[in-house]
Amino acid sequence: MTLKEYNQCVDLHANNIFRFLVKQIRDKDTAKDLVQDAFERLWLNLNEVSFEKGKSFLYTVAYRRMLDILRKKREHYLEERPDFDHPDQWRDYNNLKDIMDKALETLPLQQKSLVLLRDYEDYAYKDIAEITGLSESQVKVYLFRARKALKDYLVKINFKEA
Amino acid sequence: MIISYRSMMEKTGKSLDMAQSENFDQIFAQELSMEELDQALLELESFVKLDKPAEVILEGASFLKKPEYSSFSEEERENLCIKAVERQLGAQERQLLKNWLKEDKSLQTTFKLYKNTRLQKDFSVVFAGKQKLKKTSWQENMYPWLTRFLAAACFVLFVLAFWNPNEPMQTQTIALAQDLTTTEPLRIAQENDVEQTPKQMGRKNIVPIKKVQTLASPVDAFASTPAQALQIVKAEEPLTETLLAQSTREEKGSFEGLDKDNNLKKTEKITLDFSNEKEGAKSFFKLLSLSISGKKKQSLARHEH
Repeated sequence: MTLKEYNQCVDLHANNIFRFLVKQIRDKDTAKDLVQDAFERLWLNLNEVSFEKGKSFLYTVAYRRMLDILRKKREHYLEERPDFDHPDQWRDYNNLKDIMDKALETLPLQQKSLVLLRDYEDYAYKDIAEITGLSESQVKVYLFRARKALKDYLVKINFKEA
Repeated sequence: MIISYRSMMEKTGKSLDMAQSENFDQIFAQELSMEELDQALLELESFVKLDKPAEVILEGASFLKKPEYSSFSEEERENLCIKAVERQLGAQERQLLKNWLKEDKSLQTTFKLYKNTRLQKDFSVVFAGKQKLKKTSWQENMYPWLTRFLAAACFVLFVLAFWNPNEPMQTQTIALAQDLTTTEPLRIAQENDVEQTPKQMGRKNIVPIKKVQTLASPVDAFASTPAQALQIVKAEEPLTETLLAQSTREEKGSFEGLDKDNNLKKTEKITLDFSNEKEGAKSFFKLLSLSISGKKKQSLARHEH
């Protein structure tokens, strides 16, 4: 990858990786640090990583670093998760985006990441498998489970499209 | 037909054998006249008309038919919906789902819910530090050198961090003697500092000492550099002169030290070799360094010999 391509990667992917991380760790500062880490790693491996592989490389680094951080913060993270067994609290959420943001929180971390990679980045199962270190079939199964869980959540809160 | 035939045979008073009864057409043709045939035909037609069952139609019978999707379980239908949301449907499956959605209203609702599980990008979340991430060509060229320099610096820091102060005294002395030409800052400890040294360093084998008798004045002095320390030594004219004037050209200083457990204070001896001014200064500097960092008792003893 050349310098120009590296800078192009910044333009193309920085926002997306940041968004991907913020949605999961809900802490912009940490997410920012992780994005910087990921790009620093890319910069260090500039000669080894091609432009085409840059996006996947960045997501892989960011995802794995994020897991490390979340493992350290695990208890804190779990405590912060709201009680989703009581849909009453979602009466105020009449916007699908908000509801889905909350619904996403009900998913296990791994499934959440898969849904985000799939929907935000439109990654193929194969690419997601590469980033997350899972097999392709695992990715498929987890995504199916995640979709089902999200749909069940919408049923639970009696969501009706406007 | 058989009934009609029998009734005709009764009318005509004729009976048929087995072979004849197998071939009605031939019998009709041979045995009946044209009139009889016409009559038989009329009878036959009227019989058929009479016996024709009335048309009974079950209104809305189509409801008994099973829809195509019913042969699939609910889970299979949901999986097809998920596949659609995941954009994994083949042409055949797509058509199947289309048909099902037309027929099954509950599946329509389910499918809508699944469609909603597809997240939309949240463009309100933006990374603010993009420009800082970008690199310039200068950084690109300098980076390898910078990394090498940093690696070397890290190595030096690592060595310094793990430098073992329990090195034999001689080595230490040579290093300090060489340092006399440098301008590296150096602070000579006060007595209190010496007392705190074991706690700060946290190493078992280090036994700090402090000078208590012979060279009280210089040890209590402060120097910011080795060169300055040397000046302090020189400034102590009466002492230096006295030492140099002695025929043995040796002076034994008396020092108080701690044992390994930092409990017991003990008097140690050290030899100052003032055979010439430079060497005297070196030896004296050793004392200063001892009072700064503290040395192992064994090292001290070795030096004494």
